[in-house]
Amino acid sequence: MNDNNFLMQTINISKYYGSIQALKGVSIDVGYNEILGLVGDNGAGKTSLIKTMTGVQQPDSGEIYWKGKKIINLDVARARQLGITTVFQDKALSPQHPIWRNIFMGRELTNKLGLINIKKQKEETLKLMKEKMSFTSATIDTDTIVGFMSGGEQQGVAISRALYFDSELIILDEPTTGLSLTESKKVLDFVISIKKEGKSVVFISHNLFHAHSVADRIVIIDRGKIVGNFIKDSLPLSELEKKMYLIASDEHATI
Amino acid sequence: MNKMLKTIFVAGLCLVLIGSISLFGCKKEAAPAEEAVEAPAEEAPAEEEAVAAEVVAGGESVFIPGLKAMPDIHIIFFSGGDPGDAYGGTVYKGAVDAQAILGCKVDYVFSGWDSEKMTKQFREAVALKPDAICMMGHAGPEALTPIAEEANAAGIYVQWLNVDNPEARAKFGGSFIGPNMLAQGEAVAAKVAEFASLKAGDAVIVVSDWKNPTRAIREQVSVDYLEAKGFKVIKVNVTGEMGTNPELLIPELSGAYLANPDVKAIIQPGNQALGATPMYFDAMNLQPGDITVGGFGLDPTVLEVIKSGYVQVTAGQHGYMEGFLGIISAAMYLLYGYGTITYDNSAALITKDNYMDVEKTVNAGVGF
Amino acid sequence: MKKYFDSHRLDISVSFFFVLVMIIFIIARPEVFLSYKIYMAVFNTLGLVAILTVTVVFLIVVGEIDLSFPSVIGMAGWIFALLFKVGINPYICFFIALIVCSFIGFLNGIMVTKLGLSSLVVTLSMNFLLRGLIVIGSQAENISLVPLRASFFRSLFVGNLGGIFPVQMIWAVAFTVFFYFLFYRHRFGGHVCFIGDNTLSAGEMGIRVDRVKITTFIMVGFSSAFVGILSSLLNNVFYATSGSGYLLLILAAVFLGGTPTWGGIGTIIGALMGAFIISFIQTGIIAVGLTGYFTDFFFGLIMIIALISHRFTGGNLRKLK
Repeated sequence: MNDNNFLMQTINISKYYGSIQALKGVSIDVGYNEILGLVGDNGAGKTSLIKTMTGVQQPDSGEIYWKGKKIINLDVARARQLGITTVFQDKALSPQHPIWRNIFMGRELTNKLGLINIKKQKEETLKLMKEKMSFTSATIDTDTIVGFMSGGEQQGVAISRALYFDSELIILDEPTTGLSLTESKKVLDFVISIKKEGKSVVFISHNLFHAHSVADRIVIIDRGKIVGNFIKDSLPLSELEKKMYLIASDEHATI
Repeated sequence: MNKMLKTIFVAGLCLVLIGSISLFGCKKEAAPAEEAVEAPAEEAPAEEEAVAAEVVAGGESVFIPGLKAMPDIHIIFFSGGDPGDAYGGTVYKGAVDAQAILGCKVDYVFSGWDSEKMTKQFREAVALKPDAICMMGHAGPEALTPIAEEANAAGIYVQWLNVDNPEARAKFGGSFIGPNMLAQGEAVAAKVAEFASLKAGDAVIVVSDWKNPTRAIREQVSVDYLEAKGFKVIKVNVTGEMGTNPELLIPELSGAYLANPDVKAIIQPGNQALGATPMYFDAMNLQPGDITVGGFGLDPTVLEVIKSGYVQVTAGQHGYMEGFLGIISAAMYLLYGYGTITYDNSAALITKDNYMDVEKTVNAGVGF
Repeated sequence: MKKYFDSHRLDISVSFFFVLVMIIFIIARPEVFLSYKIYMAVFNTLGLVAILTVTVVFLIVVGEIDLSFPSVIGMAGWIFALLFKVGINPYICFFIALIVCSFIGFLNGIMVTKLGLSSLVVTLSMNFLLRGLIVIGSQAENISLVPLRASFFRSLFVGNLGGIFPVQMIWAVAFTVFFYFLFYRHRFGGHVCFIGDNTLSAGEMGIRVDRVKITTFIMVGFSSAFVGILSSLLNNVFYATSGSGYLLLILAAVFLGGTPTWGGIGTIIGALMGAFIISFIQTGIIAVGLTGYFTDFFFGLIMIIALISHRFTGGNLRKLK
C-alpha cells in the first residue's frame, strides 16, 4: 500500500488516550511540493495526528511512510533528521533574544568546544532574512529582539528557521491565529513561497478562508476520522464552509 | 519508568526521615550521666566521707531529698542563640549537664538572639504550662513583663538569664543569673583606653548590633564611658550575617578605620569578631599591636588571638554556669520554694598576662 | 561600536552606575578612596561574593532559584575542616568537599526537574536540612584552621599577592571570565537563556531542558563549595554557622547587577559589578561618616536607585514575557 509518489503517508493510524480513541484509523498522504490544508473542529484529532507524524508520540496502531519507506518508532530527533519540522502555535521563539540567536535555537553553529561562531550565525541569519524572509522593514536586522516584532514577522522568523534547516515537510499549527489581516496576508504569502522552494506544507487552521486560499488540497478530520479529502479546485470556499457547518451540527454522514 | 523512580525516591526519603528520628531521638533519651551531685560546700567531717562515697555511686543528693530523678518537673529553657552559637551553645551545654544530673524534663528553645522571636516563644512557652521557664530578658521589660504576669497567674515559675528583667523580678520574684553588663562594659573600655594610651581627640571604633539595643548594652556602656572621657567613638554596625561570616564585616570595618586616621582602638562585641581580628588586620595591612583590640567573649580562638597579640583584652563570662545554675536553681525552687539567687557570671578581664589561668576550661569548651 | 553597546546594555549601565557611586565616594573622602588600601581591604570579601554571584546568574536566568547555597557554603567548610583535622592533605580535602557539594547541587537539580518540585521550596528545605546536618555533625564546635595559616595552600586561595593584593579577587576574575564566555559565547549559555525565556519552546527545539537545569544547580553547588572553603581559610577557622550570611548578599548582588527575576536574560559582568556595588556601598557609607543607624537606609536607597536605572537603560524587556 506504500506509494513512492507521496512525500509522507500515514496508514490506518489509531491512537488511544486511556479509553478515549483520538484517532480512528486515519490514513492521509502529503504529496511532494504540495500544500495540504487540515481542517477540523477542536478535539477532532488534528493535534494528535500531527504529534504522531512528527514523532512526539507513538501511534497505537498503523504505519508511517516517508518517501515510500516505512518508518518504525519515529521520534522527534528522527523526524528532524528526515526533514519534518513543526512550527507550533507559540512559534517556539525566545522573545527576549535577537533573531540571530533564535534562528539557531538548539542547533547552534559551534566549534569543537561548543563556542558559538557568532559571526557566522549572524551572516547566515542576514542571508536568510534577505533571501527567504524578504524583510523590507528597515528597522529589522539580525540583532532585533524577537519580542519587539509583530506576530506576523515572528511567524516569518519561525518559518524561515524551518526552511533554513532543510525541512522537506513543514507543519504549520494555526499560523494565522490572533494575527491582523495584514499580518495574516504576510504569513500566507510566505507559505506560498515555501511551495516555490519545492517543499511541502501541512497547514492546520480553524480559519477556513486562510486554509482554502493557500492549500492545494483540503482534508477534513472529525472525531478522529478523515471525513473529507478534496482538491481545492473542486471545492469552492462556500462549499467547504457548508460542510464544516454540517459537521458542527453533527450531520457528518451527509458530507 | 519515571513513576517508579519517583516512588523509590520518595520511599527512600521517608526511610531516611524515620531512620534519623529514631537514631537521634534515641541518643537524647540515653541514660542520664551518672555524675555525682556535689554535697553543699561545708566542712566534711571524717564520718561523712563514707556518705560521700555513697553519693558518688548513687548520684543522688544526700542532703536535699528529691534533688535527683525528677522526671515530673518540666522546664522550658531559653538558650538565647542558635545551636551553633558560641555563647548560647555554652549556656546550652551547662543546662544539658544539669538536666542530665537531675533527670528532669527540659525543652530547649533557640532564638538566634532575636528579641521579637524570643517574645513570641515566651508566649508560646507559657501556653504550654511548664513548671518553670528559664527566660532571657533581651526583648525588654515592656514586652516581657506582661507575659511574665500571665505566667505567674498560671503558677509557672519564671527566672531570668543573661539579660535581667528587674521589673518582673520585683513583682513576681525569680532568679537572675547573668553578667553585670555595666561593670563589664566599663571595665573593658577602661582597659582598652589604658592599653591604647588614649589621648584627647583619639578615636575608638565600637562594633555592635546597634539596631538591637538589648544586644548592645555592654558596648553602649563602653561608648558612654569613652565619650565621657572625651574620646571620639565611631559606631560600626554588625548584622547577624556578619556574626555567621565575620569576613563580611571587612568592608565596613576597613572603611571606618581608613576614613579615621585617629582611630587607636577597636572594641568588638563577641568572640567570633575577636577571633577574626587576624583576618581584619591582614585586610587592613596591620600588624598585631598596631591598634588595640578589646571586647567581650572568650573561647579557644579568642585565647589564640590573645596569645598571638592581636587582641589585648577581653571580658570573660561563665556561660556554662549560666545554664547549669539556671536549671539547678529552678529545680530547687520547684521542690522547696527557695533557691532564687542573683548570680553575676561575668568573669575576669583576660589579657596576655593571665590567659594561661583559664586555658584549660576554655579549651574544654565550657569556659567562656 | 553601537552594536556592542546595544547587546551589552545591562553590563554597561551597571558598570556606569558603579563608577558613579565611586566618584561620589571619592569626592566625599578622597584620602580614603584614592588610596589603594581600601580597595585591597574590600577585595578580601568581594572576591568571595563575586565568585558565587556570577554563578547564581545562570540559575536565575534558567528560571530557577537556589536558597540552599548558604548551607552548602557551610557544608563545604565543614567537610574541609573535618577532613583536615583528621590529617588529610588539604588539597584532597578541598577536592572532596567540591565533589560532595557539587553532588548536593545535583540532588537539588534532580528534585526540581525529575520530581517537578518548586525550586524555591525544595532548596529552602535543603537549606534547613543541610544546616541541621552541619550543626549535628560538628556539635556546633568550631574547627580551627590555624595550622594552615602560613601554608602555601592557604596563600594559593586567600593569600596576598605582593603582600597586599587578595588572591581571591584573582579567582573571582577567573570565574567571571570563564562564565562570561560560557554565558554569551557558548552553546550552553544560549540554552540556559532559551529555557528561561520560553521553556516549552526550548524543549520543542530539541534543547535538553532537564540536563541544562541540573547542570546549573551543580554549578551553584560547586561555587558555593569553593566560597565555603575560601571563607573558612580566610577566617582561619570553620564556624558551624558559616554561610548563612551570604544569602541576601548574593541575591542582592545578582539583581542589583541587572539580571531580572523573570529569567531568560542575564548579565555576568553585571553580576560582578553588582558584587562590587554591594561591597563598596557598605564601605563608602561608613567612610563618609554615616555610621550606625544610617547604613541600612542608604544601602536600600542606593539599591532602589540602581534598580530603577536598570529599567531605563536596559530597555523594557519585562513586557515581552
